[in-house]
Amino acid sequence: MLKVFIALIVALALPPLVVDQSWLLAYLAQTATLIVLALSYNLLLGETGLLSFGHAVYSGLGAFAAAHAFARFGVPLPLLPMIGGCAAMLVAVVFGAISTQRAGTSFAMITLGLSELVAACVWLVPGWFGGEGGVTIDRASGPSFFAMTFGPPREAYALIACWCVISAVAMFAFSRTPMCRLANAVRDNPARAAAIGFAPARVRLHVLIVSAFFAGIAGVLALINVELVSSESVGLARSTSALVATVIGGAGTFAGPIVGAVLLTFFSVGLASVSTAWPMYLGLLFMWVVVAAPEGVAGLVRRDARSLCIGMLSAIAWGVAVVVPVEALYAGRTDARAWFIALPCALLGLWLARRTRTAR
Amino acid sequence: MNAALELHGIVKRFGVTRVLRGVDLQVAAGERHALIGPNGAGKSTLFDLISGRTRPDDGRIVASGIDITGKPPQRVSRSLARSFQTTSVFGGLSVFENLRCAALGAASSRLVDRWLPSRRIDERAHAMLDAIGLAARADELAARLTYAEQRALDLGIALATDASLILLDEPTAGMNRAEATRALELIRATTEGRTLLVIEHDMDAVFGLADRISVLVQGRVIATDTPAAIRANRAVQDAYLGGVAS
Repeated sequence: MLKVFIALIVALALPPLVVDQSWLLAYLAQTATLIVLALSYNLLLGETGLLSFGHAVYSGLGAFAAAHAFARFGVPLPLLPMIGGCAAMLVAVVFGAISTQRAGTSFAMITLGLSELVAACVWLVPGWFGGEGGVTIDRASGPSFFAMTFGPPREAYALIACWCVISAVAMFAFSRTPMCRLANAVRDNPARAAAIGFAPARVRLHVLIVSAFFAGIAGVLALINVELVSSESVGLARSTSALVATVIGGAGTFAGPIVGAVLLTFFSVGLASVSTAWPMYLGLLFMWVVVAAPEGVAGLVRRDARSLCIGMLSAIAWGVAVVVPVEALYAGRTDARAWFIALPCALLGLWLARRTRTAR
Repeated sequence: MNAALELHGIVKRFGVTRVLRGVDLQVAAGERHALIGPNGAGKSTLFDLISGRTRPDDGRIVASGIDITGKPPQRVSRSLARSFQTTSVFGGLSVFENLRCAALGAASSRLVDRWLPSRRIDERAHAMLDAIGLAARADELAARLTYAEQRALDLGIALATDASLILLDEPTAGMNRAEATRALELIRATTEGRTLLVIEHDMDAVFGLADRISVLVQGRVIATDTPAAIRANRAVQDAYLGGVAS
C-alpha cells in the first residue's frame, strides 16, 4: 500500500517541477480532485455496497458553504476544505437519515431523488447559490499563509495536491478500522449484522457521513482550482463521474478509484483535446470493464501474465477497430478504407478474446 | 424457576393463516432446550419473533427478565444470539474478521473499539477461532469455506457476541452423519454455561443433546418434558414421531 501512496505523491509532485505549464497544473489539479471524490465514493460503493447517484450533492454543497465562508468570514484558504467537509457532513446527517434506511435499488433511487431536489434548489434560491453564474471566489483575496497568497496557479496546485494526499491517507486509515469491517458486514449480510447488534441503517449512515466529509473536501478542491462553484457542481453528471471513475478503476481495491480517476481525467481532458468522440471511447471502456473486467482496471494486475498479455493485445486490436471508423465518421469521410482496417482488427480482437476465455 | 426465556401466548398470523396460535414456553437458565415439530409447525417463525426479525401479533417475550417483545434485532442482540437455518456469514470478510465483528457486538465492547484496533476484541475473536476449530483458516474469506466450516463459523459468530442465550436453527441441517456428530460435539463444548434453545430435525441429535424438549405442532406447544418422557408421550408419538419411538 505504501507503494501506491509514494506513486501518488511522485505523480502529483514531479510533473510541475519539471514542466512549468499552467495547463498541466490545471490537469493535475482536476485529477487530484477526482481522486478524492472517487475514493470517498468507494467508501459507499465498495465498502458498504451502496450505489449512490447523488454523491455530488455532498461535494457541491460543501463547496457552496466553503465559498460563502471564504467570502464572508475570511477563512484562510488552506483550511477551507475542512469547512466544506464539515458542511457536507451536516448535509449527510439530514439526507442520510432518509436514504440509508434502505440499501440496494431503494437507496439508489432515493439518492437520485435527493440529487434532483438539490439541483432544483440551486436554481430556486439564486441568492445563496448564485443562479446561473454560480458563486465565484478570488482565492488570492484571503489572508496570506506563510507568504503564499494562492493567487499563482502553482501555489493553489500545491495546496490541492497536499489535501489530496492527506485525504487519501485518511481514507486509507478509515478503510482499516473495525468500523469499516462492520460496513463490509452490512454490505454482505444486513440481517446477520443486525443479529449481532449492528443496525444496518445506522452503520450505513456512519459511513455516509465519513464519505460525505471527504466528498466535501473534493468539492472545495475543485472550488480552489477553478474559483467557481455552480449548479454543475451538484448535478447528476458530477455524481456520475465519481461512479464511472470508481467502477472503471475497480471498487474492490483501495487503489482502484485512484486509477479510475486518473483514467477518467485522461479521457475527459486529455483525449477530449484530441478527439470530439471521447465520450464514445469512455462509454466503450466503461462497458468493457463492466462486462469483461468487473474487478476494474486496478484488479487486472491480479490476473496471470499470460492472460493479461493476450487481453492487452485483444484490447489494442479492438481499440484500433473502434477508433479508425469512428474518427473517419466524425471527420465526415465515408470511404471504405477505414472498414478495411477495422474489420480485420475486430476479428483479431475477437479471436484473442476467445483465447483468454479458454485460457482462464 | 429462573427463566432465561419466557414466551407467553405468542400469536403470529400471515394473512389469514395463523402460524402460531398461543405459544407458551419457558427455558430455564443454563439448560439445553430443544424445539421439535413437523415441517410448517412454526419453529423458524418463532425464532424470528424471539430474535426480533418479525413482531408477534399477540403475546409477550421476556429474556432474562427484560421484555423484548417487538424490539428490532439489534436491540435484543445483547440478551440473545442466533444462528440461521440457511448459513449466514459475512462472505466478503475473512473468518477472523467475521468473529471480530461479532465480538464488537458484545455488550462488553466499547464505542472506541469500533474505530481503533483493540487487543481485547482481537483476543476474544482468536479464542472463538480456536474454540470452533478454524484457527488454520483465519485469513480465508468466509465465502470460500466448506459448508460444514461455514456452519461452524455461523455458530462462532453467534457465540462471540457473548449473549447468555443462544438460539440455533437446525445446526446440523445438510450435513452428513459424521459432520453432524462433530457439529453437535462443538455445540455441546462451546455452549457450556450458556442457555441453549435449538431447533433440530435429527432426532438422535435432539435426544442426545437436550435437557428438555418442547414439541410444537400446528402452532402450539403440545408437550414439554425430558427426552425420555417425550419419547414415551402418546400425543407426541401420534402427532409427530410416528414409528420412531417404537
